[in-house]
Amino acid sequence: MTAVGVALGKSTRKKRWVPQVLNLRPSTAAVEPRILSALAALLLLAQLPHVVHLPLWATLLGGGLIGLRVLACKRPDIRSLDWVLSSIALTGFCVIVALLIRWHYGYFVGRDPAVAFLFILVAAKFAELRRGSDATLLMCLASFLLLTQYFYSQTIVAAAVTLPAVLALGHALAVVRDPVRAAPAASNLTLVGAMLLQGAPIAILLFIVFPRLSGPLWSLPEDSMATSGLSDSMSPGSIADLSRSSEVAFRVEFDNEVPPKDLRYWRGPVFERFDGRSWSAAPIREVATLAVDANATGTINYTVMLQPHRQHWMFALDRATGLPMSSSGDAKALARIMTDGQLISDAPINRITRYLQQSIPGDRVHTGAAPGPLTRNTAGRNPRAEVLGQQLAATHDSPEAIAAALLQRFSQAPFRYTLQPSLLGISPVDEFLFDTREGFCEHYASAFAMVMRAAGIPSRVVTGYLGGEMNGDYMIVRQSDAHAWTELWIDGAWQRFDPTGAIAPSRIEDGIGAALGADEPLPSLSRLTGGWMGGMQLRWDRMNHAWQRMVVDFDDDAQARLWEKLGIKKPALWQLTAVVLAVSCAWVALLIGLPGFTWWKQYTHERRLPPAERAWQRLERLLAHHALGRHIGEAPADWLQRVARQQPVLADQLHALSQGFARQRFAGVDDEAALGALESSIGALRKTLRRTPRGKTTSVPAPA
Amino acid sequence: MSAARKLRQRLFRTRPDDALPLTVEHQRIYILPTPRGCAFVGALLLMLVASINYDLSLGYALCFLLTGLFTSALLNTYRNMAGLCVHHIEASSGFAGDAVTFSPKLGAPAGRARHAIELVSPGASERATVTVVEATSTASAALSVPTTRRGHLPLGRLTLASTWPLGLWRAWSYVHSPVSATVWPRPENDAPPLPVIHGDGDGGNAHAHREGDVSGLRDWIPGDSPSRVAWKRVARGDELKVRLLEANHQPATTELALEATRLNALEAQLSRLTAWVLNAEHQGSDYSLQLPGTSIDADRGSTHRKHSLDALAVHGLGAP
Repeated sequence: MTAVGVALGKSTRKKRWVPQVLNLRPSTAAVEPRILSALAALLLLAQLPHVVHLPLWATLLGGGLIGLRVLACKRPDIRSLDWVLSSIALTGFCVIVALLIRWHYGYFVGRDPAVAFLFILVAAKFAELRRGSDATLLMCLASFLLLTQYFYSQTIVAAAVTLPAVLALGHALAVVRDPVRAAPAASNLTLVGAMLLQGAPIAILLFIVFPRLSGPLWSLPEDSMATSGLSDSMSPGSIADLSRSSEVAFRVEFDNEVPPKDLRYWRGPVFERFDGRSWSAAPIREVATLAVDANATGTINYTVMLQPHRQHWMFALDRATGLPMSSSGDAKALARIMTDGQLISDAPINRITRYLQQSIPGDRVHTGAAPGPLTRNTAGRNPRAEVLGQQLAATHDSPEAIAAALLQRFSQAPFRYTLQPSLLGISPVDEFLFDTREGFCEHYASAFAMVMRAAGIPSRVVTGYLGGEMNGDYMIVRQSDAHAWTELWIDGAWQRFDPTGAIAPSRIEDGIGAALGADEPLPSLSRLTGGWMGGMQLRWDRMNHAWQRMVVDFDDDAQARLWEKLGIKKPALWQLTAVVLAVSCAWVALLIGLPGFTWWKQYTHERRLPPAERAWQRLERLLAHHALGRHIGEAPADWLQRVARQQPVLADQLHALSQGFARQRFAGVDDEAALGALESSIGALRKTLRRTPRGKTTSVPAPA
Repeated sequence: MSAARKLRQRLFRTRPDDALPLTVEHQRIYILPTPRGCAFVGALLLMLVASINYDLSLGYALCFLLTGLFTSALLNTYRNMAGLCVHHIEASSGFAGDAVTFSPKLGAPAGRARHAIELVSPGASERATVTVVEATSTASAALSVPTTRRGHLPLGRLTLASTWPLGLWRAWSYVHSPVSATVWPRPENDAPPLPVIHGDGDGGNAHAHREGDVSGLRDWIPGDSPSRVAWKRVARGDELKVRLLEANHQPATTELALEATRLNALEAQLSRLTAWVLNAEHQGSDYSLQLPGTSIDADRGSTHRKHSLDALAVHGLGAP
């Protein structure tokens, strides 16, 4: 009675108001701690690369859930964790997270929110892990999560970060296979590492020959991917912001000569419309036809590798004499040229784009017709600047003189070239010209263009990059090289004027690092013109560039180039399949050692034996081949005697051999001649055996 | 044998034709992805599609790296099985209703250690696992098979399987060797006392032997004193034998036969005889066994006991 009472009392005390049916308690005991720790390591490593782009709260939630689950395993006595980690609580949690993501990104169906949700989902699934099949699902999800980091970065670092995660995946697979008897982590990792190396040839082959598609399989709702680099309008401060970034805008390989520094004007968006503060492109632009002058001297041919900026423009050295051509075999133009000289691509540059371009460096642009009314509009918001323009027009007779006067003014008055100018108000040009007198290239370009318009000269602002640093055999153009300059319509062509050159001539010759004071917030890379740090940085970029060229840019174009280089036509799918299969078979054969494991092993094993021993092995094999093999446990001499009885024809030869081996073995006769005699005896035996019909060998039962 | 049957034998080893020791060669190794392996392939395909759609070069690289891992797992799973040697399969005897144990002895002659070999046989209550067979060494497993009837209990087709190292592939191989355990009849519970006792049961009679006289030899079993080993015979090359020393009293001799049980059903008779054999052993009396077609002279000891029980086990049954 009492025993029953005690038992009942215990069970009622344990009973909770939560219905057991809901199975709210994660049975922490059901999952092996080793599985848990292996999966936790995998997930954390798969999550790590996402920390860079995810909002902080998502990172904390995802990492925190994993921590909680591990804690629940370590400390099963914390009852509240059971609640937090129950299926229902986690489902609710995921719904809330989905709403949070929707709120944070502004939409849900798209790449970035999906990645963020996957990030949390994997952690939540781990938190309620219960069965082995859950572990399988989790490992697949983790692999996919690992892949999604490449949406954001495909650098060497991103690749390097993946490797530990792949090792962790292999370890997790090995542990989940048999958590109780699994090998320790160190030997598992060694094994997985060896397996990855074994699989590497297959991986590399597949990477090279797997056919690449040139477009997406399906188009997703366009993600509001952050554009980078220049924008489609320019207002005071926009280029200065860009200058703080040391990101690479594009890289250039020149076919032969590299243009001098003061001609490295990379033309980007051209702005004709001015509203008194910001500049933007003319609403309607027409496609221009290039008057290609194939024989023009000074043509520079080069290849641009443009980083994705998710906008429509492409860059060319001023002045482009050709359209950007795709670099693969089927040369097709990737963009059109507009009347304002800007290159507009057909599709946004969403991936690294490689194109061939040609230019004749110069400061006059001929494309297009006469300037439209937009290029004379001063917007009327900067009256003092307009007055200045009119005064300049009145006192000078030629456009060049007017421009020179204004440039002179910039270089003399207390104008300052800085990344951090004072903020400008309602009449930015007026305030800049007469009050603050400090600004970055866009301030100068904007003021110059506006004053020229006031002076009656059509003008426009051109944005792009000025400069570029040679690194080995290629040039790097960074965002910090972003620049704005102006063009004036003089004598039926657009003539480049760079007002920055008046205030900071070193900007044009030596780059932005030289033109700005030491206290300016410039990326260190733009300043490093020498020294070991700069050298290291450049070497790193060279590695990145090589990586980019050989791995990341390996697309259908690169593949086509590879086939071209190898001098073969683009192989058909079945040919590729055949090649992959053939190489795989060779790979298997190499690793296993076909045919069978025996002969190669035997061969290598025998090589290490003394010569007489080798001769003996050969004799054994020879006789075994003729169904006269030695029985297990049979003494060598007995065996030869038995064979002699079975095959009287061989008796003499065998006797001689037996004697020879015995002498060799026991009397220590170990010279070349004795060995030679043995070898030749075996050869003679082989011949005799070949003459002896197989049927004559009678099998004798093995001695008991 | 028809071609179809030959093929079936080759594929599924339905008949116990395999002679031991047997090396598992590539002809008899099957390998297929496990459910986890299939899920892994699914994930790889998904990753490939994502890489294609977003044109992720490193996505392709990761995908193919994992494909390489998957392929390498195939190879390693195969290599883990290939060359594995089944040296012999030891079968223990037992009484019907108890379990008998088959102990396959596995060897790894090819110079590589083998891991996590799982052994399954149709009759075994649960699968056995050999965690590791060290290189050029052997390891044994124990498959416990429950029994119901006396007679020969064949092991049946043994399946050697392994999902080592990553659990993505399962390699398996059938070994069907004519190994069987002898299942003795179940001894009758509360069997009546031993029947007729020959000779005089009392100890001090005419030809009482001096303690220490050798009355015979039996097989050596672990635990026997070395001083009792018949070393002369060993020197002649025979197996280890132990001298049986004559006890002071001549033990009773029991004659066991089917008729002596006074039962009708054969199984019941055998069951009672089994119980008597055990009782006689227990009491230390000699016993002989007379079965139609078999006759075992009076003796005792473990060898004699085994002979008797084996005779009872297979009595009236065909060849194994």
